[in-house]
Amino acid sequence: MPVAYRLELENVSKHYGNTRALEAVSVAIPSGKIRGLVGENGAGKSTLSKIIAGDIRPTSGTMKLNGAEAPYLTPTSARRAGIAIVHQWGDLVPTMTVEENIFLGNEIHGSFRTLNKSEMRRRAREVLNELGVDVDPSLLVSELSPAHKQIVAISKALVRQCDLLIVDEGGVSLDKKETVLLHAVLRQLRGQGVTIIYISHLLDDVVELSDEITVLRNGALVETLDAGSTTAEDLAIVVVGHEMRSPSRAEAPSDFTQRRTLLDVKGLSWTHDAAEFSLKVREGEILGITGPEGAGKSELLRTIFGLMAPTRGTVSIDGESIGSRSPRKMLNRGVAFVPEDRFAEGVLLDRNIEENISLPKLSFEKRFFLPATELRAEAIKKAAQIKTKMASIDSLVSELSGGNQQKVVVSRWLEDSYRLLLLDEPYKGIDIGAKDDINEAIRAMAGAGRGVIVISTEFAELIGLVSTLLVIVNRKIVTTLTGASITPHEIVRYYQYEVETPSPSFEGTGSPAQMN
Amino acid sequence: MPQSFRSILKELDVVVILGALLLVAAIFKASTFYNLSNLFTTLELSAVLGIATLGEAMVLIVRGVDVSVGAVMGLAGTLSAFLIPDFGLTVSILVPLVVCGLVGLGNGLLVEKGRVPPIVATIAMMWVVSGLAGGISNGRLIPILDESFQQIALGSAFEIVPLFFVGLLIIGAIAYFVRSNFAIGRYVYAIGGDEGAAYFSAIPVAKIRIGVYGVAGVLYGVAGLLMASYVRSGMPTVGKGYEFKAITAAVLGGIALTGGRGNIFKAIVGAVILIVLYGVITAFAVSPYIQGIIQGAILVGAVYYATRND
Repeated sequence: MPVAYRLELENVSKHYGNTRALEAVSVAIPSGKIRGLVGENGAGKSTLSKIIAGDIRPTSGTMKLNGAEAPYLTPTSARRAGIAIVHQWGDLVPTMTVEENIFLGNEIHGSFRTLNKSEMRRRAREVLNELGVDVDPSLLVSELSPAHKQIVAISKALVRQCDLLIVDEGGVSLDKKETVLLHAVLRQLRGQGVTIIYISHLLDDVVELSDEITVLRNGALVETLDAGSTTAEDLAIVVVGHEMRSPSRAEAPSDFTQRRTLLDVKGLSWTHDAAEFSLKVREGEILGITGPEGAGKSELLRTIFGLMAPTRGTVSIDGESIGSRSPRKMLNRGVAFVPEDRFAEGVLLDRNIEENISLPKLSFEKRFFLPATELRAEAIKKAAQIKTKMASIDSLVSELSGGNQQKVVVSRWLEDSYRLLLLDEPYKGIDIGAKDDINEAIRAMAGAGRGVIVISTEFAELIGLVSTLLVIVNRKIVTTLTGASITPHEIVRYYQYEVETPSPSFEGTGSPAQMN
Repeated sequence: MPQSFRSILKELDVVVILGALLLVAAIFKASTFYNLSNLFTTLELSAVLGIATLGEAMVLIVRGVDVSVGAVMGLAGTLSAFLIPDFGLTVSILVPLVVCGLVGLGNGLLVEKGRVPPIVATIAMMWVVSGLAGGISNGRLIPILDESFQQIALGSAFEIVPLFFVGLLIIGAIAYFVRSNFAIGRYVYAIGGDEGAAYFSAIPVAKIRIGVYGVAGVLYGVAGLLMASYVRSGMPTVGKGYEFKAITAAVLGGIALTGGRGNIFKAIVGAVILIVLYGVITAFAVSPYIQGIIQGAILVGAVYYATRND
């Protein structure tokens, strides 16, 4: 008997100008199965899922639903075709109750178009019970745990008669118990004949839940694997690509114990639970931090830089403990920060490159008149140092490509007075050339004896760049890798590490200084 | 039991506390405050502000804001006074309400289709509408001589409850009934709570938001007509300052400035409290300048309290 396919895509592409978000992808999703969809950031997972949900129109390619040729979907026609997408929790109104959310836009009416509230409450309870969860429909969504929010979002899709469910980043920010609950719910649905596409960064999560796993890389289909005969580690190699792009650092020194400590973080936390972080960065050291999304990497860096209030712990620069930190104070001490969200916190899009590069210097300028020629010359020098491709230093930043915009942000800090640079996801949404240029600038900084911390989920970029790599999962440093042990296999092994019991303290392993 | 007791307290919170304080304060000036005519006036003015506040509250819930309240009230009264000698009572009530509704829809269209920030759109509308009312009245006050129109302000139920207040209760009850028994009530809150989620739930976000501004316009119109009956004339400036009173009352009643949250019934209670507060201030013969300071302090205090509790 031939396999019945719920959804087939043939040669589907999506181009944005010259950017190919998706290139000739063909996949067939069998009915009543769970299909995992994995890939790095920018691999095309979300583009593909949005095409299926009708949120965006493909540039070319054909689509079949239940074996029949179908036109490109719109959000409305997708819903009519029984397709629903569950985002992390973007589709619920936090200020409304569970029942109101489940039936939002799809209310059950009684006489005179009044709401049949008792029926909706009954149905809501029924749907939730069928999924095996006990949630009071009269609770506000804002009061729910992340897993319950997802289950409510799934219930919302179910009352709309959905039988093709896309779960986007389902496992993220769920703890072990909640993940088990979500998996149980999704398996239950599969049992009822619902087809599920499960997108996740957490590879072991995908391997455990899915029947088959489709891997995307750089907008193209790599392969579809049978989940039963795959391990998370094998999958990680397929996701990252067999050949590592970055060449290994030739002279990478891994022993920094003799060097002077620039940054010393001890027992730092921004929450009131057990999670706390200790790390050291020494002169000339590049420290990498990786881990799944939502693990607390950004928060760690932002707490160090004074953008988030710490609940305890100390941060010392050159042995001097810095209390009540603020960006200004940290910059004064030679610590600079490149934020994750380039547009919100990095560049001024409508100002030119020169102004963008000079920006952090202005408030430290003592002279009455701005030294315009000096600033300009310095900006030109910095832009050239990181190979920014620009028509002129007076070009608006909005005219640059993403990679060159990021270079503008990084180049601000290319001077000797900044001895420690913190970068939060600097490779996000930029091309390979720009990644290499930024990495080269980072190496040059380290070569000059300055310290760097780089956070990235793209660990292919970190391998060969950093001398020490911390893996953070669920707000815990689960391992510290150094030198030759920084390989995709090793990273992923810890990536999957689930912190089940609150470990007493990671202070020892969290400090690179105490390794080796 | 303590759980539900606490949630009831949380529901009433600031409203109860402030209301109790005011009543106590009023006792000290019992002779000035607790006489029939003063109570009657207090209820009437509460009704005017309450109806305007209801409109403002709806706009705030869809994450908008409307500062054209006072100007629209002035337009309604002026237009009514202008029409009544030639067209009679019915026309001079209905036409201003339709015009005010259109003004409100205009606000909504500017915000939703024109992508003009609500504060800017409604400031512009405030000026346009004031100009319109000034043009109609030629800058003067138009006396209203029609007795049945005057009678609205004088009328009462059981000799004690002003007709105004009866009107407020009816309008409030309708609003509450619609909010809790029709899908549209949920949609309004959903749009303010999370516009994206509402949109992806196939809710016509733009249409509803424009409609809310329209209904709010009608409510300001009603408030303006009541005011005209109260002062027995059409005055373009009669609603001056009502936009900020309405916002203060709504916030006092727990309507979130960030949208999506707040009980419209409590917003009306907020309006009553504000009017009682003015009465107490007047009874204590506090200088009008101090009055402004108190009003400002209450607005900031209410917002501070609300954000604290988020």
